[in-house]
Amino acid sequence: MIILLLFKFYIAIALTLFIPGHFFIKTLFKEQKRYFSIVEWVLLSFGFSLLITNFLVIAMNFLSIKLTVSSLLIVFILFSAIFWFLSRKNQKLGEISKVSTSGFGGFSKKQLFLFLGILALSCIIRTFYLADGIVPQTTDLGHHIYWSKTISETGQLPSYGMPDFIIGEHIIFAVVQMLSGFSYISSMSVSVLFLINVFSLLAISVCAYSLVAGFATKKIARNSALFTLLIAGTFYATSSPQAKFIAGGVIGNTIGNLFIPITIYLFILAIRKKDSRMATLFYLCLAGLGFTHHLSTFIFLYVFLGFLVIFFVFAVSVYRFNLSILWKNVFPYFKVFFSKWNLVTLLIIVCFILFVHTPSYLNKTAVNTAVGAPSKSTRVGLPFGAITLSVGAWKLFYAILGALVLSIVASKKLLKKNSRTTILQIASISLTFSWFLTIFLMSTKPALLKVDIISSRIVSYITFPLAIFSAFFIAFVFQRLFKKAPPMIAQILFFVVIGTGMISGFADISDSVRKNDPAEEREVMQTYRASRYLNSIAKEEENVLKDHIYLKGDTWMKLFFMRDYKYPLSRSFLRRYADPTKKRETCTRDMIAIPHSEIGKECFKETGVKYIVLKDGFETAQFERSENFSKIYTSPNVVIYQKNNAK
Amino acid sequence: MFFILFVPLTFLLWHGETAINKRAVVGYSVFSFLNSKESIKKGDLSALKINIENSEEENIEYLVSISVNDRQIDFQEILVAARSNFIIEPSEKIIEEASQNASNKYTVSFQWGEEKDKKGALKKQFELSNEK
Repeated sequence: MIILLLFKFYIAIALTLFIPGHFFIKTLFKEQKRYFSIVEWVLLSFGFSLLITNFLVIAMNFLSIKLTVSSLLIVFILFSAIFWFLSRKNQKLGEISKVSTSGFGGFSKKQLFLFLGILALSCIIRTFYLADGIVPQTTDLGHHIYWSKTISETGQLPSYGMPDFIIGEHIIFAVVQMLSGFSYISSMSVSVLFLINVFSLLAISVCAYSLVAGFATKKIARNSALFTLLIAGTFYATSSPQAKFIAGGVIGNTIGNLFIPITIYLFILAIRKKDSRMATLFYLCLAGLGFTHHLSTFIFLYVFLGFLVIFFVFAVSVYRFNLSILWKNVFPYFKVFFSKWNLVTLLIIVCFILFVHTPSYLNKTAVNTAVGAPSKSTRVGLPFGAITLSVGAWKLFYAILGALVLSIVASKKLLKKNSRTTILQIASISLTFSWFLTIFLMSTKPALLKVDIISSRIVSYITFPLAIFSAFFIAFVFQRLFKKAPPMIAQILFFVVIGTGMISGFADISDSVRKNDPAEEREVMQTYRASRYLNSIAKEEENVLKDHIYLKGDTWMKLFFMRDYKYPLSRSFLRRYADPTKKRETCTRDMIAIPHSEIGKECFKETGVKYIVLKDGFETAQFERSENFSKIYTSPNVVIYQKNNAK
Repeated sequence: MFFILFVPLTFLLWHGETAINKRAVVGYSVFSFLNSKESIKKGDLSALKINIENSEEENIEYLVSISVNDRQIDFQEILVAARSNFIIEPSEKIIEEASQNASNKYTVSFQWGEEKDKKGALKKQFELSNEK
């Protein structure tokens, strides 16, 4: 049974996360072997397959095609077949591009072995972290998977009615579930997120190469790519936004951290190659990001604005304030991004947003809540110490050194006027700096940039640019040291730097490792069993209230009812009820804390709650003693009370 | 690269499935009883229906006793097979006896487990009573 499930899962993964993107890219770049390395090829196939899956499902929904196993199979196979045919047709015509390779694939055998070894180690760390506590129970994942299950059950995309969720966060899980047959109460969702996270490591490594190759030698760029993979993949591998986000089901950030580096990589590659097809992919990737996660899109747009400002200042100083020469040099690149075909692409994207599916966060209210002066204490920025704790002291230290070295390199390079290559250098340096500085400012001084978002959420995005900066520092400095200093001294220094990184990065892993607690997992399964029982007896008009404070896996209860996103009602953490910025409902709290008070009785009447699910021994005394409530269900940790006189 | 991804992914999926199945059946029993308190309070045990669900991987012997005024009026030994359930409905005789003592204390108790305490009762137990 499990073998069959696994087989179907891999078919589903191939159909949705590899094949469509593979043939799409193959059609666009006929001579793929010359253009991309195998790592870039696999990465782009994965990223664009995810994007294509989202757009195909949205289009099917728009055309009122019900999402079923057969309709999905037909559409995905048809899409792949069409692009397979087109890619073959193009090859037959003999239109073979003469472009050179992107350069990423120039690894020596030793480097390639090291690259794969680091990738394997990154996977092993994540696998062991995720294996402990594999029973799905985390809050965010429970909320998200409800929407994926809604897609699977109704065969159409949901209308959220709130800006918190975006469709791109849920489609892939629904499609993989439908095609594989895995239950949602399984490790399927975490496994898909694991896959996305591993590909985001490839993306950041490829992106590091692409950026560094813009202003340093290819050797330094290759070493930077290797060190970036080491730092992002293995050091602090279990903290945010890495394995912790996979386990927690922070889907938007995880997918955002895949698309942001790919988008930046494509942007730089479009400039390096002056290739409008790269610009097309850049626009598509950006659109994919927009349909997946609001915060990631918001951060990317800020980073891009920061890039434009830094680029303009650098470029103007390089060209001695001669704007006409600057424009003359920039214009060929401008044409790459605004070619006829790219304008059509942009038009299609805009039409898709306006007429096919508008992301739920694209409304005035949602935008106003994210832009403006910080409205809460959690949004006023983090102190430097908090950032150090969040990203890791070693990484931050070497990233700052990397930024200093890059500043020196930049000032030397930018003072020279050198037409064509200089624009690539300016762009690479500006984008690298902007990625780091913009997120740093958004996290520490959000008021300066008019950002009104929880600062601790923003800071998780700084991990990747910091990894690039610290990797660049190590690659740059040690290349010179190994050339100029005695080999013994260079080797000792190298091992000191990497060794301290391992101590700091791996200590963080051992601190955050989750304890496998079968008793806790058993509690989760009891919550699920109780939910299944309750669903069998609760009538449509009868409401259920559950306790989020003590019950394990309670957000997953809604998957057993599938009646509404807010069903069952939930008693939240008590601090949530004391919100100075707006009035919160308190019935969910009062119906458990003071069920016999006038307020409590009024709340029961108002909400129609008939059943209350609690952890045994945690605020159950008032229900045990009451004549108005009967215990109707018990397992060692979960109890259900029924209100006797509810109407 | 394929194997680097394939091995951990397969492990996570396989481990997830086995862990969920294992946790789902091992270590606890479930009792559900609709309208129990009202039934006991009214002294009308005819509506009392108790579902014992043995979610463990082994057969469990449940001792079910019904007491009125701390006096045991019924006692049953029920062997519930592993991963199955059993429904208890009081006999006519018990229903009648309970109705004659409607205002008094009723206790319906369940005991199960392998180890017995000094008095010979099984250690794990659960009670329903009409007392506050």
